[in-house]
Amino acid sequence: MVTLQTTIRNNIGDLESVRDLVSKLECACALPEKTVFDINVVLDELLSNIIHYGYADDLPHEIGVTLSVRNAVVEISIKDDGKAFDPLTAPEPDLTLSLAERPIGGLGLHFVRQLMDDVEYKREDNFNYLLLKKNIA
Amino acid sequence: MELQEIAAGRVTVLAVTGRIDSSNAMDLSNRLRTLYASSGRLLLLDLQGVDYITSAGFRTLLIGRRHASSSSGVFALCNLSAKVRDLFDMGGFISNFSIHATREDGIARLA
Repeated sequence: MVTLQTTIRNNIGDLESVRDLVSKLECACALPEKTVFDINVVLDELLSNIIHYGYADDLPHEIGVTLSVRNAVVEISIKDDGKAFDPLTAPEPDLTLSLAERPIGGLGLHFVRQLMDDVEYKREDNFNYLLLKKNIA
Repeated sequence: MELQEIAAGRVTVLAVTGRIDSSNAMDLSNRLRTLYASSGRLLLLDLQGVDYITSAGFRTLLIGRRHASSSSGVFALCNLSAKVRDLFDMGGFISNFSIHATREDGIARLA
């Protein structure tokens, strides 16, 4: 089992260190290209959401990101002290609407739910905990 | 993300290399806005070198489409990898964009 961890601040520029972490995991575990693609998309969606919409103040906050691989499953966990937000309860976008009619906001979370095999959320002690699982194809 | 502009007759090809995500989608947006500042622009966005694209990137593509229609221009895409195409499918975007298999096809159709 391989586990890698990083803590970032709530700045979009800090996502660079998360991408580096994914590259390290890719090398350490010889992950398939498609799995790496999915993980990169999902982490960008979730972390940029937290950074842009997660906080009621303008103060610096820490976001913990842990990546691990065991038994051919990649586990991603994200811990933040932002507003309570369960991405599983966000409404599905209406894909039948034309682009002009469609609000674009739900798209990122739609990708998360589609690209991951399992998503769990819990709120505890004023922290959001997200645990995502991706079976290695 | 790197952007390379190539003139192909009346068509402008903008080749994207790298990722299009929350940290750089705005750069692509700005480039598209600048390109469509001249009216009637025929623009082909070549996505061959794209590692991955997130919803922030899709927002930019939608903006590009809007710039094109408001300046009587054309906005088309080409060279989507299978993984990138999957996301277009997942988002329900395939029928909303003019998508060409190769750069040559795209140029031929736009010119």
